[in-house]
Amino acid sequence: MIDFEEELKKFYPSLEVEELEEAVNGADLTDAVDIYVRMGKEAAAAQAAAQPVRDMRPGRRY
Amino acid sequence: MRCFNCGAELSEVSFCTNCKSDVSLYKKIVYMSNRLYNDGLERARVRDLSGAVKSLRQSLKLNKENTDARNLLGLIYFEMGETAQALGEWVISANFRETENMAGEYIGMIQENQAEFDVFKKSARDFNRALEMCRQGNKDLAMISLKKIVKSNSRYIKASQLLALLYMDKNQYDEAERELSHALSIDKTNTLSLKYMQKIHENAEAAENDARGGFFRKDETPIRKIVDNELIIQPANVHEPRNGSFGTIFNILIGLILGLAVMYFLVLPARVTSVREETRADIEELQSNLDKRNADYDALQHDLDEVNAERLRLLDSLDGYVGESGTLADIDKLIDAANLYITGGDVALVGEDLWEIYASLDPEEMSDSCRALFESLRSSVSPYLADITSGYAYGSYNISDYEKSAVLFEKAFFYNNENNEALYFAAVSYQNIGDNDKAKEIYQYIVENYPGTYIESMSSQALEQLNGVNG
Repeated sequence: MIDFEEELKKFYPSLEVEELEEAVNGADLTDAVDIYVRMGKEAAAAQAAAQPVRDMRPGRRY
Repeated sequence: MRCFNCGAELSEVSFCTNCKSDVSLYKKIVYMSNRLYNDGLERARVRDLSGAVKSLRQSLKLNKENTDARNLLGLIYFEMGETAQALGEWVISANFRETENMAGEYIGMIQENQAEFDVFKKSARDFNRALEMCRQGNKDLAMISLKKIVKSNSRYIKASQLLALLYMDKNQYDEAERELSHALSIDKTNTLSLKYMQKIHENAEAAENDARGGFFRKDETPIRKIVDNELIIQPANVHEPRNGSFGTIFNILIGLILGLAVMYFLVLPARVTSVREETRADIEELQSNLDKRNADYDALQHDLDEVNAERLRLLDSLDGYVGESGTLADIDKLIDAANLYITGGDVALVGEDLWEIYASLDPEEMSDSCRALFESLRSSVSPYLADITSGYAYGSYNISDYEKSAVLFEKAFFYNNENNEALYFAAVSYQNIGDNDKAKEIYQYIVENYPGTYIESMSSQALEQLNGVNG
């Protein structure tokens, strides 16, 4: 048999027009491309951090 | 496709020719997003709206700037009655691409039709209130509100589903089934709708199993199936007859026999009685008409008989006037005789004509003019003919030529009415030739017109004699 109360929990209020602006502004639009770009930038940053800084001052040589 | 790093147009190679970034994975993500969009589009075309929403959401999760997918997602939300959600997708889409984007047109179309837009806004607001009422236990009020929503915005799937749930809670499964059938006609694969529909069917089967009670009882559960979004309920144990089978022919024959029996025992007697009454009425009417016609015929026949009798009488009268012995012929003969006499013709011939006229026509029947002319001619020729005729008559009598004497005596009396002896001898002559009737007639005339004369006494004796002979 159908449990009314349990089934009722599956219903959510509809988005009303008055709430539209807030919903659009607050929407999480992060997509796979964003993640990929961020991951790429983070990887580049990490790589840059792992390399030693070369002393380019005059008279300093290895 | 543009580079995510610098925005330059990408070529077929796996890196950006401008900034040298590796775009191979980026390209795969965009391709996958497009593939999911295509999948969503295919699903939407067959009204698998729930499946389409999933595919399009995944597509947008991969690439949020896939405006085609976002616009289609908005359309599907709009079709499902979620107008605000649809507007949200279109607004986002329009933000990503301001030109060459259908989203702006969709928004414009909704804004132009303000009345319908108000209905959509009110539907969402009322649905949220009804949902809140359900959670507070005010199911009846929620049901009333949802019925109004479904009536004004029939595509609102969530409202139909919640209303169906309320119907099911009240054990009104037929109404719940109707609402879910409508919801499934919009979105064929909506999981919630299908789940509720299945529950309804299971419940109906369980209820009927309980109602059956016995193991051996035949399964009478109606067969429910959805064809083209229409719920079809087929009664159990009802099978389509197989064409051409013996059973079908037998059933048709039984039906025909029953029909004929009904006709024979119920319809036919009533019809026969009705026809008989109609026929009897017709016969009575015909009989009445026939009697009337017969009466008319009798009356006409009577009139015809009278007319025929009148005709015969007139013909007889006409015969009296025309023909050789008719009045007109006698009149002609009278005129001829007068003409003969005036022109100095033979007097004997004139007298003969007058005698013939007298023999065939009673002078009393003539007109006054004719009778005057007749008498005038007779008186004119009588002096010449009376004695001569009388002499011829006695001559014939003496030689016993009674036939001739009878006529000559009559002529003699015709020319001279005072010669009553001639009349007497005419009677004697008739008696002698055996014409007693004529003889008696003349004797009787003499007795009546010449009383006291000797010929009257002799005539009386002769009459007595004749009467004695006859008696």
